[in-house]
Amino acid sequence: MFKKSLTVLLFSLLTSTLFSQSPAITSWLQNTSVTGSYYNSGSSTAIGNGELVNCQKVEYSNDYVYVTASGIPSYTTGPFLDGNPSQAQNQNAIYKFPLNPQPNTGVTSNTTMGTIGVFINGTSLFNYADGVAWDNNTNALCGGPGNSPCSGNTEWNRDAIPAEMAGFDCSKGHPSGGKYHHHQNPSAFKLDLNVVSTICNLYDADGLYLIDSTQHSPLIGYAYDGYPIYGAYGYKNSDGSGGITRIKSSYQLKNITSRPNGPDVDHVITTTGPNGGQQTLFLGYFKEDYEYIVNSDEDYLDEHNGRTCVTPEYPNGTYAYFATVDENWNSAYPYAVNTFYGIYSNALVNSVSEPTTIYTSTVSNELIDLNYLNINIFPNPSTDLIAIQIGQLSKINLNIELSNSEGKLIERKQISAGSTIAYFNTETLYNGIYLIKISHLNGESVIKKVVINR
Amino acid sequence: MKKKILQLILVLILFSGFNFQKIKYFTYPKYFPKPVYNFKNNFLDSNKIKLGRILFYDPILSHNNSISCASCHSPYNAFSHSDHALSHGINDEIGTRNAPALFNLAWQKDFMWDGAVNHLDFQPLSPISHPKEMNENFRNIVLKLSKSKFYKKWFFKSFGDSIITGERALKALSQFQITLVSTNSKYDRVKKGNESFNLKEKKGYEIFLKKCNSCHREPLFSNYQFSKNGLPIDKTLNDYGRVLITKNPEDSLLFKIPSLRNLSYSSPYMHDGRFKTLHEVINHYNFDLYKNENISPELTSFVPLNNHETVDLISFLKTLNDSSFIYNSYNKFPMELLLKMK
Repeated sequence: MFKKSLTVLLFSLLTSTLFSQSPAITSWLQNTSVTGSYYNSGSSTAIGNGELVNCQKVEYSNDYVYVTASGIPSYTTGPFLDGNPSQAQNQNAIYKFPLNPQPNTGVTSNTTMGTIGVFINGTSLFNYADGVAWDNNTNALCGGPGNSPCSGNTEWNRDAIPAEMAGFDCSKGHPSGGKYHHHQNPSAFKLDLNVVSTICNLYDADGLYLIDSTQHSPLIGYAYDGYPIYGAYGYKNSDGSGGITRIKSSYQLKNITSRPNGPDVDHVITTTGPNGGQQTLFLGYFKEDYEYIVNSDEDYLDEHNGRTCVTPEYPNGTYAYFATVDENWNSAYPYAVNTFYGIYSNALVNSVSEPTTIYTSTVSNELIDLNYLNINIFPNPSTDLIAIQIGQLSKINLNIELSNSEGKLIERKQISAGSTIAYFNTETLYNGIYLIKISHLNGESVIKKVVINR
Repeated sequence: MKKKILQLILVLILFSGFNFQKIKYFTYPKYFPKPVYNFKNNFLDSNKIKLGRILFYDPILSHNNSISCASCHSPYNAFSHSDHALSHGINDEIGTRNAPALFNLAWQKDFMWDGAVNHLDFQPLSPISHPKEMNENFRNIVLKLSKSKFYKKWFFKSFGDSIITGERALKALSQFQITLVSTNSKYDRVKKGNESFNLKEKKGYEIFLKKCNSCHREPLFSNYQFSKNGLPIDKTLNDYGRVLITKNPEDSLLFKIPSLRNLSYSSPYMHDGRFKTLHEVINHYNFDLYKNENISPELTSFVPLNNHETVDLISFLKTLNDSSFIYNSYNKFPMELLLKMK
């Protein structure tokens, strides 16, 4: 009898430590040593900003998880070539998410300007909007930098993703008043199937993760209502069956040529300012150019841009948003969170106001199969540069060592958690065979051969 | 009378002790030659340098206020441009040449790839008036500057009154550009005895002295003459270099010899930016030179380098990178000056 109850007790203890911890506690990338960097326009040399990257602390109570984050990613930020004078700055933010998020059965909560979710690296998710709209009284764009304020209701609101393309860095992010954020899927422009920005020509093609059409996307963040956000690919069916597929937005461009109380489609305006000039208000320039079309296929999302489904982190199912992309892997409206499925509250809080337990990440002690990371070393054979890129998301810091064929170390680099790329300049290496060793703290390592041949 | 003689003597002492190595705001190492710029006609002054820096970064110098000097001469590229081979000017017009890096200008007599300008003070007129670069004239610039309270203040600070003239603007631009001195590469630290080359760099330096030094002469790493380096003519550009200026057929295909300092920052290479990497550049001399008989005499007996020698040479050339110059905050976009004088 006693023995049996002890077993039950032990079992419940075990389950409480092993199984009760929600992914909302364990998914955050924690870091208290690696600092970030940025690019100046025209220079592909990253410059340190001295700020800790990713999240600095995760703590939880019975009901909430609290995440302290600088808001600085471990991939290099910038440059922002639309005249944006801002740089990513430490936000010292504390975010509070419910551990048991609840669906909203009342009136849907719309997303607002500013942070509406947080990526696992502590950077902000914004919705589509950039604060610019069409003012039907003045027949001009209003709001945002360089425009006069909007008068009255705005019926046509600008979509930041096409409109601010020139200002996004290679990782599809930019800062607003120092707050670095993504409006969309946070992976490098250059690695999309169709590359729509030239920004990565000079700067590293880095981001939070790489889109991989063969694996379920990693959990990349949480919306302010407490539900998880995934990347571009997931299980076809919500019960986890059907294989891996691209999870699709159910929003489509309307078939219109004019906009009531707004400018016609393809109307051309002239703007002033540093990026002034002629601008065409093409179909897709405004949020209202899209409409929601119900699709019964399970890989199409609802009007919030999410669905209830099984994911690797939630084997029993959860409601989840997806950072949607099109068949070219270009960001697809409404990009991540359109409206909140759950009960919304502003997750940004000033302090932690209840007793909590600090969660120490165990990920660095876990056995990690480095082959799972799909390490890509290119070009091989190489001439002036060798890049090492991991296939999806790295939750750990990886050491990368370049040595000659006798094993003599030449240079050491790191791919920090939440970034994907490292490279060696090989201009001053003789032709020959070299070794790249990728390893992490618990000693596991992979060695790959590269050839330098000019 | 006595007092006046004393003053005269003092002045004489001051002038005789005028050491070019220690001109205020302008210093250079002992192993550098004397600069050729005539400082007497444009004494360096802290405010004039700052005004020149503000002008250098201000698109007001172009016709539609869209292109500044820095648009093509970015500090992070040693004041050249790395994104495209040929410079992009006003309204996205594309020129015929690669924007050259700007540093150590006080040692140079001829400017532009073809030597079209022979004085630094007048050089800015060239890009400013070029229809594909800034497409502007100085009369209009002076009109635009004169409407600005901000510039009136700066001209007052620099010249003692707020009258804005083209000459003053040009002199201020020269002052800023003169202060773009790059003398703190690893090569310089080795030269001063503070560091030493590694084995590859040392071998590369020996190769450099034998093969490159007659044109790219140390310590400036150019003799700032003109040379034919055997590049085949690009038929889309038909750029024959210095002959366009001198009309002397012998000057066909002569281009100004650029300095090799800060090479890693100033890719792409050559007057038309045709090469992206140092290996491509050296392989031109290794493999393609013999195809062209019309080359300068220094190159006629060039013996190609083998693979190892090429790597050694590049290892040395990379010691000419001066990161302290690239990240010198006095050369950057003058944010602090713009904020202070709003």
